[in-house]
Formats: sequence, structure tokens, C-alpha cells
Amino acid sequence: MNMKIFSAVTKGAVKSAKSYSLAITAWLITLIMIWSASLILRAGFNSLLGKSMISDSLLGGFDLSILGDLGYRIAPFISSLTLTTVFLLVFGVLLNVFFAGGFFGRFTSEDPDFMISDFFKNAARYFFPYLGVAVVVAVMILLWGGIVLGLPLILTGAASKGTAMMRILMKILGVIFILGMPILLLVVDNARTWMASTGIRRMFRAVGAGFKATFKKFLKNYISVFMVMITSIVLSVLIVCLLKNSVPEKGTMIFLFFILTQVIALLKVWVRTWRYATVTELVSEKNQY
Amino acid sequence: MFPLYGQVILRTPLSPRLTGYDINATLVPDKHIVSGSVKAYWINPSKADVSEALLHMYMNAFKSNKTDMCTEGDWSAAGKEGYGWIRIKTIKDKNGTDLLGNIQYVQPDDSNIDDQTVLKVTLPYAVKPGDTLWLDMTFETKLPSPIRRTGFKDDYYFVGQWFPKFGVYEPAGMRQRPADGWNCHQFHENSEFYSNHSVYNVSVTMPANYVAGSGGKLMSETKNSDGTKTLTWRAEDIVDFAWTAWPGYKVFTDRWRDVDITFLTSQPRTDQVERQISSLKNALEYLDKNVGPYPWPHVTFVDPPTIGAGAGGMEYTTLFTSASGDHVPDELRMPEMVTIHEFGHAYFMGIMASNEFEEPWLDEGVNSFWEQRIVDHYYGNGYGLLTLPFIRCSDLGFSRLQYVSDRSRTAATNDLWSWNYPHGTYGVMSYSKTAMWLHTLQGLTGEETMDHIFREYYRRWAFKHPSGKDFIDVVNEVVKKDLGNKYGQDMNWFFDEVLYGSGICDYSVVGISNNKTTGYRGVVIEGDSIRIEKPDRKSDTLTCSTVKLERPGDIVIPVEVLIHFDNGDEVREQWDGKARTKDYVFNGIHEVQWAEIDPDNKVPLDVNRVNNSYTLKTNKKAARRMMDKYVTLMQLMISTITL
Repeated sequence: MNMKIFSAVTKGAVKSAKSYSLAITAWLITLIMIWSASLILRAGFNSLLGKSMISDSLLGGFDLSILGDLGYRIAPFISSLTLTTVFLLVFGVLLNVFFAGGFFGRFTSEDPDFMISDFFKNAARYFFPYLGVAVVVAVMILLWGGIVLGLPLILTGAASKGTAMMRILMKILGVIFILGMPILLLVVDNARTWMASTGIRRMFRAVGAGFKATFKKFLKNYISVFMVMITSIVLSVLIVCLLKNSVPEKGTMIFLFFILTQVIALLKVWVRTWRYATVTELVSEKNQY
Repeated sequence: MFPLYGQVILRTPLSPRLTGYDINATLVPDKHIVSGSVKAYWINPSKADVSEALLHMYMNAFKSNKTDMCTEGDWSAAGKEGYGWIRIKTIKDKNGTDLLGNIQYVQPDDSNIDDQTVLKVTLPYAVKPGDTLWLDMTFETKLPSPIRRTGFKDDYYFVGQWFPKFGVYEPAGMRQRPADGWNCHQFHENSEFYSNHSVYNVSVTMPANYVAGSGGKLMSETKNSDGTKTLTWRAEDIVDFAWTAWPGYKVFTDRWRDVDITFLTSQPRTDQVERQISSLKNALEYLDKNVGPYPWPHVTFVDPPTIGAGAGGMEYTTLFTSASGDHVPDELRMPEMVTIHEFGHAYFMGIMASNEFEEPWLDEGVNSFWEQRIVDHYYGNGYGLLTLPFIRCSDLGFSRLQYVSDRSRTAATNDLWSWNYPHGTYGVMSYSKTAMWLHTLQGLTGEETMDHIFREYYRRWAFKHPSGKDFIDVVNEVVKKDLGNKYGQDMNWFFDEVLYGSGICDYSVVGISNNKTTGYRGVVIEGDSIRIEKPDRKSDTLTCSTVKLERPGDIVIPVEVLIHFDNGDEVREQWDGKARTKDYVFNGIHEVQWAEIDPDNKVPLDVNRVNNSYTLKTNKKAARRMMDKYVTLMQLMISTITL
């Protein structure tokens, strides 16, 4: 069975690697969207500082005390930043749902000449049902988080048992939460695979099919997706460490820092497609529907 | 009980000990009452007879919604059980004469008859100069809830301002007072306290399972047969006596030189013990070195649990309360900041004992100045309050942020009595603005002279109730001695601006221009010949550079201006800051690239540092890096929430 687990994961990796151009397309479109918005924010921030050299003092890290010096002008900038962030999150997620249609179309297609136009055609075709499936499973994830993380923390916090115990509890609960996530990811990916394979764009039927496929050969499915998910988490942790601890000051280093983070971001996109491909591979191996 | 006049803890008295209190009290938890007896004495320090005594009855501030504290603020009782009050049941003089008919509540600050926080005792005979007045009282104090510095919540008690306490009798001349009189203000929302250095013998009986701490040294603990215990404390030369009791306290002890440290905290916060105690030791070390010795052999501090949070952040000389939370990350040094601040009050409220009612800046602002120096010295490489790789804040910076971002920062001068600050400006004026102009004073005089000022202030005025004018006199004397006439005959001009004025300080570089100096261009008339002369372009090699400065603010402070040329040369100019505009003109072959007012951040009073500098080539790297991080963060967030 071990070999079979690795077989699905490996084939999924190969399949997604072969579709590197689609991953790059997805990454690039998202990057352009975010970067365009950030240009406007950057211009706004630079106009706040004007010809002042106070920006030099920010090179060592953002000094909170500068907020007072920026005075009332900071308020509109903060509003813009907030709105832009919300806008980007919403549209970014919608964009990824859109791309998911294209990826699942690619990974379930037998056509060796799958074109980029087919990618976008599938993406458009399955956008709304995929969005519905994503929303349903997202609600399930929130419930899962609320039960596993929220309730125990609230109860422990109220009892005030001490910081050390809270920290231990948070770690244990965090692990439990992560261990449960592959199941829900399997449900959503299997649902999407079912839709792409059958052509039936019925949301709740797809979710039902997703559950069924998930618990058929559960262990193999779970371990495969778990491995890919862990890889994605590692990349996320790497990005967070870089964002938190890197404070490049020279122009070249800032540029290299950006390149490095984008390489990791691209890898994250690819790992997500790897998961999609792995699940489609698991389904096709055993005709799980 | 120990004799009030005797030496038990200290070898010699630190203060004149004009007052003393012998208190026997019992805590009745089911009624939230502390009742008992107090034998109090007061020595007449003046040259005149005094025929009345004024006492603080602070706890009556919680008696109704009509007291000054409640009408000026937002405290309201938690149900019927929440009200607080104090009443004198019996009062006699040393001869046993009943004085109960001689007491009445008075309102020296306003006409609010519902405020009963000052009690006048009309004496049947005058107290002669140097004589002692003894008052033998029984009293009952009901503690309030929610806790506002003092009070109870469930089985948690913090007991402050709980007994009848003499005001301060100020002879003429003391604190520039024109005539003798009692200084005994009502208790206001924003006021703190003022009292003589006293000796305290305090015995409190409480349930045996309570863990207690106080500002005194524990002399004995006796278990009683009825399930209670009696704790006896002694405190010498402190201005206030408070205590706390709660079954859930955990007690930790340590020592700094010959000072015994006792720390009371709650179970969830025991992982902060080390950082709390080490912050206290840092404060002891720093103030001992730069201001003066800590004169008592003991200090107790408390980090109240969440239910007692209302008692946090307050000082009672040898007892103070810190403020923290159950989960405070190491990078955020709020617990250290509060501990250092509240301990610092032992110097400026405890040793100097200035009048916090009338000159809150002289305690809170001065103490904030020292707290910021200490926190930024010991933590975070100058960013003492918050230190993360991508975001940071110094304690001074945080205080400055509070000042510069307050919309009402010009609403008042800095010398008002505490309850007279309008529009909620008490906090920003007493704490932040004062700290900023003290840092600015340090910027002008240098740290060495500033330390000299405070050492002299301590030496001259410890245990003597200085006024703001006394402090200014010390500043004038020391600055003159150390710096001569560098800033004029005295520094009164500085205090006129920052303490007695309400303006803001703001200096600005508004522009830089670099113009090529051209040769003569114009008409040349030689006899009958009229011609137009144009300069040879090759001769345009000189540049006339102008750095344009302005003073948009009202406060005038001499400032430094650093001017940087394109060849790397720099010039540091001294501007007296008086004129509204100032131009620095340079003729040469190099151009000015940037200019900065106050490059060394010696004037934190300046409300806008963004306009302190001007450059012809802006450095956008920081903005670029921030936005690059923002882009990556958004990608991460989108990919995380995408399924």
C-alpha cells in the first residue's frame, strides 16, 4: 500500500509539473492583481512622506511612533489599505476558485493537446458550482475549527489555568485541527473531480460524491493528501519566517528578497495543483465513483 | 504596637514625621467592611496657632453618584453592595474630650455638598506651634466595587485610602504659599494624593486563608482561635499605607542590595515573575545611580489578578501595583513598563511627595520621563516597549505618540490643578507632554546635566514637599553652574513656553534650492556704446544653495540643523529658533542634497518629525520593501483561505 500511496502522490506531482505553464499563469495573474493594487498603496504612502527623510528611519523596521507624526493624513491611507486588502482577499479567492476549474479540467482530461483556452473554458464552466462547493466546505472547516479550537480555548481561558497550560493546549488542539484538515480537503477536491469527470454541475451532489470518494480507501486518500498539505504548510511557515525576520535595507537585497518570496509563492501554487492532481490520480486509479 | 515616635525599621528618621497613625482594624469579608480604631497625631509645623484640622475621607468619593469623583468621571457602583464610604463613629482628643459634635464635611474646592471627602474637625483649643494634636477615632470603611484603585471583587481586596487621614498643613512660604493653611483637597476623578510622611503601625485581622501584602514591614503574624489571623505591619516615613488581601496570591521574594523585595501575583502569571522582579531591580539600580538612594529596606509590589485589575498601576511608596495580563508575549514589555513606572513613584511621589492634586506634572510627568529612560535603556536596544524584527516602538516614542496625536494638546497649559484640565487632557498633559518637554530639556542640557539636576533636586527636596517652582529653581541653578549663560540668565523662558504655555513645538524644512550662479547679464553702457552682455556659460560653475526653514509652531527652542552636500560634506548649524523663517545660504561648487532639523532627536516635543527633513532624492526603499512584503502576505493569505 505504501508504494501505491507514493504512486498517486508521485503521479500527481508529475502531472502537475507537466502543467507548469498553467501554474505560472495562475501565479502571474494573481501577482499582477495584487501588485497593481500595491503600486497605488505605495504611491499613497510615498505621498504621505513627501520629501521627508523619515522613510530612512523605517528601513530598520516600522517605528510605531511615526504614526503620530503622520497625523490626520494617515487615516485615509489606513482606510485605503483596509479596503484594498479586503478587495484583494475576496477577488483573490474568487480567482483561485476560477483557476481550480481549469486545473481540474486539465487533470481529468485525456486530451493530450489540452490548450490554455481549454483551461479557461473549463474554469468558466465550473466557476459557480466550484464556488458553491468551496463555500459549503469552508463552512465545514469553520465548524471544525470552532469545535476543536474555539470551545476548549474559551473554556480554558475562562478557568485561567495559566499561560503555560494554555500554550500546551493550543499546540495540541492545533495539531488535532491540522490532522482533520486533509479530510475536508479531500471532500472538496473529490467533489470537484467528480464534477469535472462527469460534467454534472450539481453542487450538493458533488459534495455527496466527494464524501463518498473520500471514505472509500480512506487511509490511502488521507495519507496522500496529508503529505501534500504538510508540504504546503512548510512553505507557508517559510514565507512567514521570511516576512517576519528579513529586514533588507539595500535596494539589491530588497529585490532579491522579493524574488525569493515569489519563488516560494509560485511553489505554493504548484503544491496546490499537486494536491488537485494527486486527488484526481487517486480517483482515476480506483474508479472511486 | 510599636511607639509611633520610635525607630524600628530605619536607624534615623527620613522626614519630620509630622503625622503618625496607629491603626487596629478588622476586615469583615461578608460585608466588605474594614472597621477599627486609629490613633493619629499631627504636629503643628507653623508659627501660628491652629484651631481646626482637615482630614481626608477619600472613601466617601464612592458614596453616591453625586460626588466629585463620580460626576467628573464614569465610576458607578456595582449594585447596592458596590457603594463605598467611611464614617467616624467616635472621635476624641488626648484628654478624652468627645469631638463628634465638632466634625463637619467641607468642600474646599467647590460647593458640592454631596462630596464628603474632606472632614473638618473644629478643635476646642488651638494647637500651638510645635505642639501635637492627638485624635483617637473609631471608624468604619465600606469598600467599593468595582475597584477603582481601592475596593473589592469577590474575595479580592485592595485597600487604599481607607482611614481618616490628615491633610498637609503648609506654613507660609512652603511651596510659595503666602499664608499658613491646610492643603486638603476633595477627591476628584483625576486627582491623586498629597500627605505628610508618616509613621504607621497597622494591625489588620482577616480570615486566616487570606494572603496579604502591604507597604509596611511585617512585624508579626498571629493566628487567632476564631479562624482569623492578625498581621501587624510597621512603615516609617511613607506618605500612604495600603494593603491587599486575597486567598489566591502567590508570594515570591528576592533581594536587591539591602532591599527586600516581595512580589504578589496570581497563578496564571507566575511565568512573568522573573521579568517583573528583574524590571524592578533595573529601576532600583538606575534611579539609585542617577537620582538618589532608595532609602527603605523593603518594597512590596503586586500584580493584581484579572478580577482585581482596577487596583493595577498605582503607587503607595513601599507598595505599588503593576498591571499585566495572563498572556503577555516577551516582546511586548507592558508589564515591565508599568512596574518601572509605578516603582518610580516611590521617588517622586514617595520621597519628594509633591502635591499631586495641584501639580500632577511634577509627579506623573517627571516619573514618566524616568520610566522612559529606564525602559529604553534596559530593553530592546532603545526600543524598549516593543521589539519585533519588522515593527518596534520605544517607550519614549509611545508616550510621544500619545502626545502628538492628541487633538486637544493645545487646549490647556501644563500647570493646572488636576481636576481643571478640560476635555480629558489630564492624562496627556500630566504624563506625556511633561515627559516630552523634560526629554527636550535633557536634549538641550545634555544627559549629564539633567542627571545633575535631579540629583540636586533629590538632595535638596527629599521628604520636603517641593513645588514646581522649587524644581525650576534647581534647574536654573544647575544649568547656570554647568553650562553658564548658554541659554541665557536662566531657563525660565523654557518653562514659560512648555509649562505655563499651551503652544506646540514644530520646526520644518520647507525646501532646498540649488541655483547656478550666473555672471553679469544685462546692459553695459560705455560712453555712446550700449550693448547687452551675456555671461560665458563656462563661468557658471558656482552654485547658490538655499535651505529654507520655518517655525510653524509657537514654542521657541534652539535647534540644530544638519545640512548635507552632494560631495558628502556636512555642516551643522545652530538656529535659535526664534524667527518664523530662516534661510541658510551657501555659495560654492557643491549642491545641498538634504537638510534635517534636530538630527539627533533631542526635541521630542516637536509634534511633527515628518517635516523636520527634506531631501532632493527621496529614499523609497522602505516603502518598496513594505509593499513587497504586503504583496507576499496577500498571496499567502489568499492561498491559505483558498481550498
